[in-house]
Amino acid sequence: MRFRMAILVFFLCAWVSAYAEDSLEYKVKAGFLLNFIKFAEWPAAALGDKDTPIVIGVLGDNPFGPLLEKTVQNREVDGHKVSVRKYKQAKDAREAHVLFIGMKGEQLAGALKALEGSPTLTVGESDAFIDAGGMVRFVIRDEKVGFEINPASAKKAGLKIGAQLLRLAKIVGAKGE
Amino acid sequence: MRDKIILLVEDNPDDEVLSLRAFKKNNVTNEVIVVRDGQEALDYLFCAGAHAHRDTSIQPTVILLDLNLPKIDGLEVLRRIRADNRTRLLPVVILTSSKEEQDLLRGYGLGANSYIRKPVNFNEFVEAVGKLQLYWTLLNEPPPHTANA
Amino acid sequence: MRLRDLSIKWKFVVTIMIVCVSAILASVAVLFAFEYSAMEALLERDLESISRVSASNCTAALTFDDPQAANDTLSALSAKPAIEAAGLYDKEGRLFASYRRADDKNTLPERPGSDGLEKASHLTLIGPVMLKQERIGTIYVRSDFSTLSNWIGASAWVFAGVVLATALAALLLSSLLQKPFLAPIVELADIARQVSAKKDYSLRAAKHAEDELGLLVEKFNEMLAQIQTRDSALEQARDELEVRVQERTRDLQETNKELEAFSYSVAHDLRAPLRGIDGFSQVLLEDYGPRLDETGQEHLQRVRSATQRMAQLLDDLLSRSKVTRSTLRPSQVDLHELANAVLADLRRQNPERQVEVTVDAPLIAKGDPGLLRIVLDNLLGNAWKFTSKKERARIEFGKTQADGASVFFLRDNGAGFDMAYAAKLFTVFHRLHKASDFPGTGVGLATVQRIVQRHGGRIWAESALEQGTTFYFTLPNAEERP
Repeated sequence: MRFRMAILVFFLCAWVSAYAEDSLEYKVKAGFLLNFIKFAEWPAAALGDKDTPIVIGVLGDNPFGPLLEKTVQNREVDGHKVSVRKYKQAKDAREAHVLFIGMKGEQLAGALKALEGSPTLTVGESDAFIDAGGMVRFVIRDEKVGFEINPASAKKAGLKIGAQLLRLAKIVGAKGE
Repeated sequence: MRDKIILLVEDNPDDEVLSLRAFKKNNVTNEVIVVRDGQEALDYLFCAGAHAHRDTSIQPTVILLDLNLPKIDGLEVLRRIRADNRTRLLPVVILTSSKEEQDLLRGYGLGANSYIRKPVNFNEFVEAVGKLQLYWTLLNEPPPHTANA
Repeated sequence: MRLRDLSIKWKFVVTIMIVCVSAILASVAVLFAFEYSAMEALLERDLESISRVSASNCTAALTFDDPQAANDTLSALSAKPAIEAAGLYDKEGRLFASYRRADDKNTLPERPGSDGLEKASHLTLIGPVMLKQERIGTIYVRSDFSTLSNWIGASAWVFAGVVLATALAALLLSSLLQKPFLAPIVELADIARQVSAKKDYSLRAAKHAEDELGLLVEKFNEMLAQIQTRDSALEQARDELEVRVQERTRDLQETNKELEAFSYSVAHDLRAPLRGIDGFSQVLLEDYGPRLDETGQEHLQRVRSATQRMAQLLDDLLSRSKVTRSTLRPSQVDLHELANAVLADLRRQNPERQVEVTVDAPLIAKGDPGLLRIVLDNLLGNAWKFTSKKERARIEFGKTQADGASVFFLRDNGAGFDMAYAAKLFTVFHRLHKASDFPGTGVGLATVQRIVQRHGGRIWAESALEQGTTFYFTLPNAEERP
């Protein structure tokens, strides 16, 4: 029993430490999601008036846990409140201004397809995210969180990404484009 | 005393009379020849004019010469006497009423031997003439006769 | 040389130059001050815009925690050589990124100070980095003043050039412009100088215009003309006067000659008849004396003494005229010796007289010995004569002082005279005594006075009847030199 207890504690610790690592990474990524809002520009219709909050959505797997809600809590951007919403269906997520998509493969492609024509800044972290037609992909460079941006797909969606943000990112294009 | 002639050159007849009287009062025995102007004086000395016939070897011992003379004045007569070899050594006494410095200087300058101013006082005049005669005809040795040639 | 002694032409040029140069200096100074403050404001605005651009260029880098990107952004400031250093601080005030010019020696502050512009040896601007109305950090930019000092250096040359060019232009223009103003004045001064130097009043200045200078020239010329007229009138008057003086002098000389000729003929021609009168009176007395009675003989004697008096008179007159005409030949004379010689003559003439004589020795005087002899002849002769009736005759001759000058005096105790007649004492032919008492012609003292006057002296007498007479005379030319 004692042995079982020790193993349990070990695994527990390992999980906790892994979570802790994950949680620091995702805390940064959550901040980035918020900050993307500041360097991107939406069509006026998409933003609405001041009472309309800016929505950061999460589609598919949510690696942030509660971090995203914590990050945006009480934050305003340009006078707009920021809120976090979770979506099951991609078609529902069209209202989000920034959308983290925790999907891969066929599922991701379908979601992106469903979002076509919507002024939503799509963010992901899977390897093929850009090739699938995503706009911003988190990467780990030199043990730091960075990102790749495909400005062409953003433009297709009617979004303008600030030059400064582009300067920080690795600019990429989707395969076949 | 024929060779001791006194030549008196005097134009004033009063003075002539008084002079002759003075000679007489002094018992002067010399022959006194009177000429009455400068021209006549020169004629006599150089045996010319009215005196052309005269013996030229005989010349006066002393000439008493007035200065204020008609025709040729006394100083001119003196100049001509001194200018001529025959007469240049003759003693000439100027006897005149002038005491002008100019006349004295010119008289001596032309070679007068003596200069006497006629006194107004006759007694003094007689005395002066007496002394003159005594000095020039008796005391004074005349120049040698040969010089007169 | 002082400015006020400069020629009027240069005064004009210098004045114009001073005015022009000070005006341009004042303008340049104002312009410079204005430009300087404008440049300063520009520099500040420039710094502000630089910092704002840099800040906005760094917002993303700051937001996404990319100091490398921020450093890259800030290094673009090397294109602005005036910027010394720049620093980007995050929200917490930590230095996030920085830029330093290669030669910058100062370090960046650990933490930014409060916002604002600080002007000291450097220009430092601290401002916020804003993103969407949110302050996300602080920017610090430090600049030197090289922009300003470069500008000062460049504009100083320009301004100096402007001032110099203005001075040259002023010199050139005033040199050209002074002509119409000053040429008449310079010419006038030149004419005045010539007139003064050459005394030529016929010179005239040329009139160039009808202005005040023209009037000045006109009046100057009028003045010269007046002087010229007056001058020539004066000259004419002087010439006339000279001619008149010459005429008068000639007249006088002729008159003098006539007088001399007259004196000469008096001497010569009047003596000859006198000699005749005297001589023939004597002849009468000698030859016809016995035939005349006593009265007749006495009359003849009177004729003779009258002729002799007249002869004496003529002689005196002649010697007096000689005194007047002869030239003065002064030399040192001892009057003591001269007096003794005269007295010896007098004693010879009157050996019977007993006269007590005192003569000071020596009595040095400067004068013509011949003429001074005549003075003593007359004065001693008079003293001798007028003491003849005194039992104890006394004559004194010496020198005394009166009014600070040497005065010779000759005192006798003779007959004297009434001072009422003193004024007539020296008048020719005027006698104060009867001829029967004391013989004389009345010419002697007149002659003495003439001689003393010719020596520049003065003669006067003091006397009283029967108390004797003292004659005083001075011979200024005889004053002893100390």
